[in-house]
Amino acid sequence: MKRAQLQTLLYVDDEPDIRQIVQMALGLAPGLSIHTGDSGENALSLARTLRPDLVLLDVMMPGLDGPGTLTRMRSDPALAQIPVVFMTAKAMPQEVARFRELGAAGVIAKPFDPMKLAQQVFAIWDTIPAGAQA
Amino acid sequence: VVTALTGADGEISGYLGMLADITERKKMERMKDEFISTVSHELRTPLTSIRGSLGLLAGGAAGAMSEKATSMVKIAHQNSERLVRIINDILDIEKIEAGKLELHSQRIALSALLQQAVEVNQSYADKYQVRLALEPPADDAAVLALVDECVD
Repeated sequence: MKRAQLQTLLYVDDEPDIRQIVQMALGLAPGLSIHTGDSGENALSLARTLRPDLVLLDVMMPGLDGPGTLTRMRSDPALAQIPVVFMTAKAMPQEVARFRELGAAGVIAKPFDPMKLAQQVFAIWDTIPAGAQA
Repeated sequence: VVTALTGADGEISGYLGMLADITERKKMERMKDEFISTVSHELRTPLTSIRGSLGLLAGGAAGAMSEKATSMVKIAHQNSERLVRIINDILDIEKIEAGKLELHSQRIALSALLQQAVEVNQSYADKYQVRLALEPPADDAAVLALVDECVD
C-alpha cells in the first residue's frame, strides 16, 4: 500500500502558549496544514470535521484528557483509524508504555525542541504502517 | 531476617527472627515519588513555553534579530536547556533508587565544551569580579564527557 503523505495535523492542548509554539514550530515544515483545539471534546469535534491525517494530543487536560480522548476516538468508527501521538510532560517509561497500550502511535516529551518538532512528528509518521495512516 | 543460633560445638540450637513493619516507610516513599512526579510536571509545563519560544527565536524561526538580541536569546535559550536537564536529573533520582540510572557520555569537541563552561559560569564569575580567560585547545581535540556535569 502506498504511504500517505502527512498533510493535515490537529494539535490539541489546553495551554494556549504551547499551542502557539507548536503551531509555529510545525509551520516550519512546508506543506503541513496545522489546526489546533483546546480540549478533548474539542478534539473529537474538530477531528470529525477536519479528518486530519494525524492528531497530536496533550495528555493532561481538564475534562476529557488525552487518554480519554484517544479511547473515545477508537470507539468512533469515523475517527478510529486516525493515528494519535501524545505530547506529555510526564514521559516516564511506565507512562509511555501505558500510552502505547492505549494505541498511541508515539509519544513526544515536553519540553520539546521546537526546531526539531516537525522532524520528530514526521519520524513517528513514518513508523505508522501505511494501512493505518488515515 | 532470620539467623541461625549456634552453640560452642557449632550445632544449631535455634533461630532468631526479626521483623520490622515497613508499611509507613513504603507509604512515605510512594508519597515522595508522587511529589517528585507532580513537581517535575508542574515545572515542565511553563518550561515548555519558555524553551519553545526561545528555541524558535534562537533558531531564526521568528525572523532576524540584532546581534545583541541574538546573544541574549542564546544565553536564555542555553539556560532553559540546562533547566530542562536539571529537572530530568531530579527525575533520575527515582532511577538511582531503583539502580537503573545510566550515565551517557558523549563525544564533544573540547573547545566547544570549554566555551560552554565559560559561558555558563560567566555571570557567576562577574559577580565576584573574576575574569575567565579561555585559551582554545587544538582544534581537533575531542573528549568523551558527561557534558552537563562537566559544565556545572
